[in-house]
Formats: sequence, structure tokens, C-alpha cells
Amino acid sequence: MMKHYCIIGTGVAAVNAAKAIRDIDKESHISLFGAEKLLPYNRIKLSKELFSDLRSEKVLLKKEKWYETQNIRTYPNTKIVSINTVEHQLFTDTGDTFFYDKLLLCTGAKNRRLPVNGVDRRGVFTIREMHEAEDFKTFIEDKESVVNIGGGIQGLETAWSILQAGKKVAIVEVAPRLMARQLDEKTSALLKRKIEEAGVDIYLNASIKEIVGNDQVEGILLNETRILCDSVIYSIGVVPNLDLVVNTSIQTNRGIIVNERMETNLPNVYAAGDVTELHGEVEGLWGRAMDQGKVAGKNMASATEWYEKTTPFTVFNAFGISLFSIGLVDEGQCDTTIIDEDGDEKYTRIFIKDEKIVGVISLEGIVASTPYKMAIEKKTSLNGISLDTVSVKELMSLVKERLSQPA
Amino acid sequence: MKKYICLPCGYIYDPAIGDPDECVEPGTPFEELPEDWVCPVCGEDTDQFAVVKE
Repeated sequence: MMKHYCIIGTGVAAVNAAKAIRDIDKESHISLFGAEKLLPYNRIKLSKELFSDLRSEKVLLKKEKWYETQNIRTYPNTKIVSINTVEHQLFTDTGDTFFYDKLLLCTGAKNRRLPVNGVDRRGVFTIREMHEAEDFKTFIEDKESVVNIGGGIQGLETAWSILQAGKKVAIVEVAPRLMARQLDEKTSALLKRKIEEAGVDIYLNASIKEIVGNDQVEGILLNETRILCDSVIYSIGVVPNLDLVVNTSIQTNRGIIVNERMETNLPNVYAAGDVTELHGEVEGLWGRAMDQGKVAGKNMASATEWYEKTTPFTVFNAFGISLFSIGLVDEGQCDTTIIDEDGDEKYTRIFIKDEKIVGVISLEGIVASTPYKMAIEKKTSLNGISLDTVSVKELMSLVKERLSQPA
Repeated sequence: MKKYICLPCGYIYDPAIGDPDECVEPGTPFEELPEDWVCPVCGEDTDQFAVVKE
């Protein structure tokens, strides 16, 4: 039977879901509704490559032709404003109505708003969508100095992009250290040093009092310090976009509640990506949104697939540092860790729990990441290895031997 | 055959697996990927890939 699959949102979850549906169901209609004017694109590039040509085809997740060959109908510039889950209807902002058989909500997340006086002044930005990136770039063309609020990975990548565009940058972070989710204290400190060497002032433990100025931003007031600047950009985390579902019977908490098949509480309604909450967790990670999209698509097309969390893998290449962080890197939750360092820029730390490697932080460069990732994913047992005395190098050669033996 | 890793995101192209989602058969070496093939995770071109150290 011909069905109409409707997908709201155009992030990575949406595209992967559409693809998964089409792989199984060659006949039915698939429609992708997006409020942005562009076809689905790689949002990560808005921070990593802010000053590259964001209009080029290279930012698109799939080229225009792909949607044609896959027979997937796209509706850019089309905002869905309400859903009738009883009659299976979607209503657009232009007054059109669509009927769905199966619905997937991929409405993503929005940037958390900075709760500070002066956030509405001209020259204060946060980037989530393409037009926001373009507005920011236009605004700072003739400006000199930017305060970047947020010392997480996205904030630091944005700061690096702005610095390379020839502007003066200061980084402000509320927490005591940078990238606290992915790094330990040593690597956070090293990263801070490298960023400062690049000419960026860093303010940690900051308490932001106000963004000052008249109509336009003139500076930011921190504790007792005033930093002068002509623009402010912030990235301080995301919150799921629930606007569309608040008045429906679709169950939500912090996100839309789903099970491992990406089903909501309503039959024929699914959700995937940054908007979801699974087992009380809202993830907001690119790779996981991608996986959730695939799982949702398969289940919508009547296959059975369960979502399994993959190991988080963060790559950071900026300020002359190349580092990766895989898995669980919170020493408080681990039994022991093994470190290899030279006191300078050589550093690898392995996190061990229950005689298995559960996480790694390393500055070895990403091409060296594979054995660590394998050991974590295959849960290689370290039984019999003296963890008090073994070096990183010895441990990894033992792990490689064990990995190559048949289980 | 050598595996390649996408430097910006960490995706690994394994010739033994290929990329079934894009109809790249198992056994296809990295060098013989179609010209318009991009990283299935982040969309980067093949010039952003490097040989994996094992």
C-alpha cells in the first residue's frame, strides 16, 4: 500500500531517516519539511568553517540530485505550525495541509539563550542556523573585537574561525576549565595555554554581569572586569525544540520521549535526533542523531531495529592542537587511569573500569585513534595485566594481541 | 587493503565493508571510490582522509 511518510526538520536525523525508509520502501511518498531555505546541510560547519563559503554545495548533506533520484520530495522554507494527531494532518505557515500515514519529528534543538542583561543589544549573536551565521559574518566585517562566550567545543571552534578571519577574540567561560565534558584537567590546561599563545585572552570562572553598550554592544562586564568589544557571540548548550508538540498529546519531558525504536507514545509518530529524550537523556550529538534517524526510518518502514548508543567520539583540530576524546573520560567513574606524557605536548590517558578500557584522551592525532576505539567498542578484557605498572604502549600492544585472537 | 580515517570527524572507511549505503561494494579500495563519494558522517571529500595507524 502506498503511504505518505512525512518528516519535519532537515537535520542529519531527517536525511538518514528518509534514506532508510527509501531503502526499504521504494514506492511510497516521502516528504521532508524544513523551515530553512537551504536543503539539509552540515550544521557543524557553521562553527568549524564559519568563514568558508557557506553557500557552496559542499555544506549540503546530499546534493540536490540525490533527492530527485531517491524520489524524496523536499519542502524548504516550509514551517509546520501545527499537527492534528487524530486526523493525521500537518498545517504549514502558508496555509497548506498535508496528510501523513507515518510522521517523524526531527525538529532538533535550539541554542540555550544567554540569561544576561543586554543580550538584546545589536551585535549579540548565537549561531544555530545558516542565516544566523551569515548575519554574524556581515555584521563583523568592519568590526575588530569579539567576545566569545562558551568554552565548549562549539565555542572554541567558533573562536578559532573568528581569530583566523583576523579579528581579536576573547573567550569567556563560566566553568573553571575548557571543554570539561571531553577533557581532563591536564589537557584542558594545555589547550588553554595553546589558545593564549595564539593571542586569545581567556576568562574562566566568569560571572557575566551584563552586556554593556547603548543601542549597540560596547563591551561585557565580568565580575569586576570590563572587556571592550564590538560584538558578542555565545554558545552555551542547546535545548530541544518542543514548540510544535506542546499542544499535542505527544509525550514530552525535556525532549520528546521515545523508546529504542524511536517511537513516541502515539502510534505512527516517531522522533529522532536532538529533539528526543531516551531513558531520561537528551544527547544533542551529531553521530547519535544520525543513528537515531536510521533507526526511526527502518521502523517506520516496518522493519524492526533497535537503537544502540555508540561510543562518543570527539575530534578537535584548532589552535595548533589535534586531539581526540573517546568514551567515558570522567576519572571519578573509573577504577584507574594510565598516562603517557612528556610534560609538554605529548599526552595520552587511558581510562579503565572493570578491567576494560572505557575512555581515552590523546594528543597523538586522530590517525592513531583506531586501536583505542576498537578496544573500547569490543570491550577487550584486561584481565591478568598489571595495571599499576604497565605503560600505555605495553598495554596497547597487549590489547592488540587480544583483539586479533578469535573471541 | 588500507583503512582510511576522516580527519575532521573520525569516520573510518574500511575497504572490507565498503559503503553499502552508497552502493560501494565490499572490497573497493579507498583509491577506487567514486569521484563524488564523500564521508557518510560529515560530508567531507576524500582529500580530508588519511591512512589509519593500526
